[in-house]
Amino acid sequence: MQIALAALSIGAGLALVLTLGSAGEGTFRYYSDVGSFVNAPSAEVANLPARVHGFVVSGSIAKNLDAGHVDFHVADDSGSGNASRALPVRYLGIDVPDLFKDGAEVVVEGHFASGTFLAERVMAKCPSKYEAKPPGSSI
Amino acid sequence: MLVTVLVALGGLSLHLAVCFAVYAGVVGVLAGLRKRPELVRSAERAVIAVFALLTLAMIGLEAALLGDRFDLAFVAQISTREQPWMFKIALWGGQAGSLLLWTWMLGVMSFLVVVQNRRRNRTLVPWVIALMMLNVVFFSALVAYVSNPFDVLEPGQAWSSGQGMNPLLQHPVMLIHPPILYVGFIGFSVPFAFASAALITGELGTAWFETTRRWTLTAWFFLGLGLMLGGRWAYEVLGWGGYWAWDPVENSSLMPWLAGTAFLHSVMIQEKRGMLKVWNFALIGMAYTLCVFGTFLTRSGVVQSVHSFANAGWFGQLFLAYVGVLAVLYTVLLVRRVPELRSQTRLDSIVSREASFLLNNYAFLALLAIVFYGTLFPVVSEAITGVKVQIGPPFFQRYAGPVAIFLLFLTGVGPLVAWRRATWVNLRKSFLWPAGVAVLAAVLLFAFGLRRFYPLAFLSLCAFVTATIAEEYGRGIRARMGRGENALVAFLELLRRNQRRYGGYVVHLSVILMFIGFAGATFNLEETKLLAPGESWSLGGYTVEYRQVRPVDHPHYAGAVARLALHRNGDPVGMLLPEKRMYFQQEQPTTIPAVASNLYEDFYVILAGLEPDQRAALKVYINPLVNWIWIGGFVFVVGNTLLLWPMGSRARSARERAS
Repeated sequence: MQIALAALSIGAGLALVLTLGSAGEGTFRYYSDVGSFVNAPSAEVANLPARVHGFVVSGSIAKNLDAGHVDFHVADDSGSGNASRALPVRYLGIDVPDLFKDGAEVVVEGHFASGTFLAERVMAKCPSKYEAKPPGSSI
Repeated sequence: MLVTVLVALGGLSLHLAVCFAVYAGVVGVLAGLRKRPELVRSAERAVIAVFALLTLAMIGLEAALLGDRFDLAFVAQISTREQPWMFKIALWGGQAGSLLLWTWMLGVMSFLVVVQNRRRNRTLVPWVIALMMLNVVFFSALVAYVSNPFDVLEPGQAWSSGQGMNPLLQHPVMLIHPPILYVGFIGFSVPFAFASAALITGELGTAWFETTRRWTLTAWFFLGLGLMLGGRWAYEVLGWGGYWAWDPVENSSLMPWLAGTAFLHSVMIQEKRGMLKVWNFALIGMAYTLCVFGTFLTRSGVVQSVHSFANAGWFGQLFLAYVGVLAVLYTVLLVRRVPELRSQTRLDSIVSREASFLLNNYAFLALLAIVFYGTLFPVVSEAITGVKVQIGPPFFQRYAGPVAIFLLFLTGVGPLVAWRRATWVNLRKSFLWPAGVAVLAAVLLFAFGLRRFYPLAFLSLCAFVTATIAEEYGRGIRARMGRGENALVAFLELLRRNQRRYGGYVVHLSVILMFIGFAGATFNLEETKLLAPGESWSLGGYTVEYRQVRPVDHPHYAGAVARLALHRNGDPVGMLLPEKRMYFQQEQPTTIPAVASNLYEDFYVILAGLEPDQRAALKVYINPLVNWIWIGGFVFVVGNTLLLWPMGSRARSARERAS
């Protein structure tokens, strides 16, 4: 009886997994640098939403508050004026984090579409040597 | 002068504590093997010494913090001269202090266990001591040799003041949340030690869990309370409008809590029916191992998280090795005893209390598996394929949701269904009107326009469970009133005489209240808008008028506070003052939300951005029913207090009957 019950439960669990599908929604592929995202095959990039880690290129921030978005470039080092290595990002919102500024270390979350990374979320990292990291760096 | 002495003494005591813990552990093992009472006594005395030495170390570190000893690296890191004393003593603001607190609590618990068992469980005690000391040795050695809070800075590096605690942590909840969570984590070490001792000695009866029932329940209660306070803190401080993000560190304390919840339920089946013995040993082993594993997740930085402390690679590996040793050791002990633990009793019917408790256990373990998978998948995926894939909240919600519905259903069914095999008459008698209430609730909610599956299911099941609890209380009280007691006396007597059952119902009720809050979250509204001073914005029945923004000057931070006039359906609600701050020394920005709260919903607003022309980006969250979570939290405390309060129910009622 117990074994039957356990088997039944495992069956129900599997059925649940199958009906609800894979871990699709809410899952991101993580790129620890801009280079690996830019050079990734387009099929891979189109497949899953991505999180890309990099630095805001100095002087690239253009806030378009009335249209409700903020444009900037993310690169592997903050000083990089080399636009070919930088990823153009459009954040679809105006509520950028406090630490978001030229040179800030950021993780952008969203997907790539026609040459621009459309970010739904921008997380800025605290540059200090603090043990407890700020909430902006959360997953 | 006094501070200098205390600090020196504290640093020394820490090293001595390691030695005494090693001694107590080794002598504990010897005493267990040779069964010599004088060896047991020697081990017990060494445990008391460990407790005393760790207490001295705690006093030393607190003295250093209160005495502004910024020549100690740890003090310089988490304290400043100006920090209020409540935050100065909060030594859990940094890794070394957290570990010392953890170790000290282990010492306190070992001491209490020794005192409680002076005349009880004498064959188990030496092994319990050995197990507790295994933990103490590991943690005290970490504190003493790897991450020592008494380490002194190089003379050239000493500062006149420190960096100070992260401003995000300088919140009243943070004064109690970490220690409460620690009591939960470490409390599980006691039942774990007793379970291990039972497996080693072969005394496999019920003594190991009956002796530690209070410990288990207390640990479980504190862990639950700690989780809730963490949510409350996130809601008030982090300014993202939520209380739970399925963050790895949140998950790492949820996992042992889930295992503990399963254990608390299944242990009742062993008591009443002698079943599930292996299962119970496995669950408590899992609970404690997950506690240590959770600490590893928090401290090693293996998974990115809000809480992640400094990345220390081999520190993490050391921890992981320890978790591995605990898990392997315990599994070997358990597997050896499996033949002796087989129960003679079989499950008679799927419609019985045993079966519903067993299903409850599977459901808790399924939740545990979901959380475990979601938390560790990124790590595993990176290790195997090299691609780091991260999992966000939708994954957890999607899989945990159906299991939660099932669990809610069992919460109503489990306590009422008959043992062994329920009859149709029993089912009808117990569930007719709760089922009616649930259907009625569902119809009403549907009629009022609620069309989404999850809130509909959650809320009607909440009605179902509440009805079963009311029915149980009603039945008990009526029976006693029939014997001439008034309603209040009958209620109190009911609680006193069957504390676990009726206290347990109050805890169930608290879960129901929380689920009402979780159901509300499916209707959360979130919007951002840029407003110029004088402009108004209407959303969700509210109108918010942005009056002005003012700078805030403070010695430690610069900030801005917006003045917002809030109206609901045309009636004034009040002024809301969301604020932004930038702490100079820590380069830490903080966002302080303003909330207009009532039992129906919260209007939660943050000042998300501020332009040079004074236009402000306001981000509003409207969170329906969220207050019921905190009300549920309060009831959770009440219920557990009822469960843990020493009412002496059995002894006293026996005496009353005798006289």
